[in-house]
Amino acid sequence: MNAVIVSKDNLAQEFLDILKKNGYVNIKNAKSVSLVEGKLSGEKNIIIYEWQGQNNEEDVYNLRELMKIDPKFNIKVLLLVDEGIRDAIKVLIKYDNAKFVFKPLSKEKLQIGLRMLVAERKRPPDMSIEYINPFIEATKSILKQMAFTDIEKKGVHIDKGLTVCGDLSGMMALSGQASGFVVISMSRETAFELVKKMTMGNVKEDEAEIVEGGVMEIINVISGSAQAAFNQNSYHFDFTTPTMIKGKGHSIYHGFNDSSIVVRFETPEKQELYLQVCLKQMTGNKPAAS
Amino acid sequence: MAVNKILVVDDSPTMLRILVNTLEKAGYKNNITAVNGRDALEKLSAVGSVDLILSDWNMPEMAGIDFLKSVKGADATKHIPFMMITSRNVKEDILEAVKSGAKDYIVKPFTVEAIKAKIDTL
Repeated sequence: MNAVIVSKDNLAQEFLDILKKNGYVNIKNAKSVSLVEGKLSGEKNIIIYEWQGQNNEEDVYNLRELMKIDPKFNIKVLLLVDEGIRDAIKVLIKYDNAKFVFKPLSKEKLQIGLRMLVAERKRPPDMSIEYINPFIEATKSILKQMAFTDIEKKGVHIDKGLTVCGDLSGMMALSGQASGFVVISMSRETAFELVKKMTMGNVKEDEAEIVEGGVMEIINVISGSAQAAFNQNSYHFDFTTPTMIKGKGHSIYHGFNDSSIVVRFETPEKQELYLQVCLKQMTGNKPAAS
Repeated sequence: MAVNKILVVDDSPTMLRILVNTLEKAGYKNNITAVNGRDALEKLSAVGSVDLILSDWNMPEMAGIDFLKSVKGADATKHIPFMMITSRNVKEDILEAVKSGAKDYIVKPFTVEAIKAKIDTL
């Protein structure tokens, strides 16, 4: 495995030792980004780029140039950045194959950075944040508009194909350039509170059909809104009509080998709801981040 | 145009309730509901005519677009303004609905004000 270091100073021997311990035996230095590609070989390459910080625009440009390197080299980039360098982080989150650690570099930080890069390889290739953002934004916006509720994103985790999130799940399958599904899950109590707001108070707790229909309508509108956002980026897929899955502690087996991303939201009343998205890209380009 | 009687069509009882609530809040209290295009045609036949049809797109038995074509294809009903309601803000769908005779297109989620503004333009 190869490591190319782009830094004004050479890395100290203790850091080179850490790289070697992690299998990067072929270590080279490049004085500029334009020289990096000529130093790569094989399929496992990491680039350690020291953020200069004197001219952020130049660093951002350099990072984007690194991302244009031929995909056959399968590069991973570890940025060494100063704390508070927001520009680096803003650009960085767009790329799955880049991680950062804060300067000053230590052996521990370098080891953690290398582990993060390796862990990144295990992530499902089609489940980048670019795919999830339109759904997250749609969920927040739709709940605000339909149920007059400001929900807050509380956490995101990868689920290994089995989900137990609540009493009620509204699910829609996707087809087209991507296949997969999108699910919104919540407790019956949470669903009732949201549907009560959607119907302007015109629902009773024992009206199960209306409450469940509200959950299906929420996922329907979320999917429609996300679909429009994807379409704007020339990325097309269709949804089936929504399906309701219910039962205390129910499970969803999505039948995909791929993992799904689960986003946990909370209402101002501290009630939880979950958005689960599993997409497998079939053809076409990735969507742009929304 | 004075809108009094509105035919509201949606297969979701929740959405029907939301729509009727919204219309009532906007001042339109004389509403007839149907759960799909076929049901709506029967209701339309029973009441003779309405001042406006608001219909969902995706419905079992008879979808909104087929219901629209039936309404616009019959002499007795072709004059009735028709608004399609859908969660799909997709250009091709909007074009198809307008080409088939829809007066307007409402994308969910909607507000009382938005619905009222659309009806006021009739």
